[in-house]
Amino acid sequence: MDKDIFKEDDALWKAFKAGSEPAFGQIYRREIQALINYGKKLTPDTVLIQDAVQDLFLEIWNSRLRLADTDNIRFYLLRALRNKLSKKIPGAVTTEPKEEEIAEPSIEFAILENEDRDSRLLRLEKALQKLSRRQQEAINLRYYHDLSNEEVARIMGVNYQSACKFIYSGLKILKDCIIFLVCNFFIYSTL
Amino acid sequence: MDPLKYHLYDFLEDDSFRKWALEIPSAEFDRWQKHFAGSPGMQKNMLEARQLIRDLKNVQTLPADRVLEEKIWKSVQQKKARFNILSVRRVAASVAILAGVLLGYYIYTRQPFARNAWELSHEIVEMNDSRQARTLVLADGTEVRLSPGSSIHYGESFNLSDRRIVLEGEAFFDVARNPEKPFLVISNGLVTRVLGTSFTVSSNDSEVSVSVKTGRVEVLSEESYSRMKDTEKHLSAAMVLKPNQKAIFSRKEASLTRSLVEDPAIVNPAARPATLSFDNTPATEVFDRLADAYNIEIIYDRDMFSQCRLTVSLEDEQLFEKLDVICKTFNAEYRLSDAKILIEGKGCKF
Repeated sequence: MDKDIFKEDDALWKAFKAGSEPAFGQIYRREIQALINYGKKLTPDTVLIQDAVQDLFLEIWNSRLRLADTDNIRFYLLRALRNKLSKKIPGAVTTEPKEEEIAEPSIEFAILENEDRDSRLLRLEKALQKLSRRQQEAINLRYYHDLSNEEVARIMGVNYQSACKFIYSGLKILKDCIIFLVCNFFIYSTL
Repeated sequence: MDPLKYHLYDFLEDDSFRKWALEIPSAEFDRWQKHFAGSPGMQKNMLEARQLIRDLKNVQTLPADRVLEEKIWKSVQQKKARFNILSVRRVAASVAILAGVLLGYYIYTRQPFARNAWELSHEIVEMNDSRQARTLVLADGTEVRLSPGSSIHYGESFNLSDRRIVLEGEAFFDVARNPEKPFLVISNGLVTRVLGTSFTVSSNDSEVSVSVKTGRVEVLSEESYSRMKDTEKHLSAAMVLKPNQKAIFSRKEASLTRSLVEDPAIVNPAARPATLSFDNTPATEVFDRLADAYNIEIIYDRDMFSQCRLTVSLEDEQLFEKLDVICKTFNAEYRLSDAKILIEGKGCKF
């Protein structure tokens, strides 16, 4: 494993652009799992993800001299990966907003036996699956990859309001589902 | 809206709160810590938001895919070793590119500099196989606008010890100024040497031309350059070009000719459009103003043209169009000689 020589994104990126192999390695090691994770959210096709991620790193290496500066490497790479994947699988990664995709909370949830960490996460995972693909993607970028609303909008190719809407409506559904389940659970357990 | 719910979403939306919830250091970390301890009324919402943020992080975390990580890294390393982007899924395209690269390499190695004076270790190749000009910025900040079908090569040590690149085809260079490290463009037998300036180099099989936009540019044949000792390289038998000048190097005759660029630009910053608007202006002043604005030498017989006067506005025309108009009015002709403009005519007699 490479040691992290560069602390700040800005310096790391500049070193990489100047042709530093260690900087390139550091970027790869640091970002690869996030990229694989995001790729898997967008498509189940691992070969496609492998292909796109590999192209992405080769391209940034080969064209490093003319890349713009960035202070958020992850944002830069996630956006580039999404562009690549949406080119390879037209339709699979949409950018056209579709109103009907905004899912409404569903009441079909399994009632769980124990209120421990694992079951809480399992419930959340099930709730996440109830979201539309775009809500899921926005929540993933915001709460897994720690990007700002602005960055989420730019990666998904939608305007700022739409991104906020995906995130807010997504959170609302998650919240409602969880509360609903908690209530259900209490009702169940008091019976 | 229920204010407690509002607060929950407010927390969820706040970037610095999210960092606090995930225990990532930030400038706001202590503020949130204090806020949490000091506002019991808020704690329920804060805890709930924190839990959801942490859960969202955990639930979306997939087991690290180390196998895929290694697989991709290996193939990136193999493929980046030399030349460009070859996708696994674009084998056909990559064969075509490889053929192009081999051809380029063949042409390149045929030239004398490739094997001796200009051998570049671990060279980097940038090519433009698109139909539009491609702009790239080199490590020293120099901007290169590569014309379609053209390519540049340079060593990995570019900008470390010196700045030299090999050009095939045509490119415009806006060179970042660095008097310590002259910038050299080697193109088809001609060496162009500059400190910091902008110019275009264009080469084909028979000739190379260098057109200067700004600054000072030296050109000399590669043969003369490689004969010089390092210490002499700043002196040179080089031809010095000024803005608006152009050198044409004929490979066959190994000769360098100086000329003017096709469309000279007004280079004197003091020249206003109004300077080229004439109202019954004597010919001598017309030529002087033109020469001054374009920083070009105009040679004419002062006595012969002393009677000529001009009334016309020539703000938008190209230099040679201006000269056409002027010469027509003065019943004269102009020609170019060694980047100078010679005006010939019998003058104006009334």
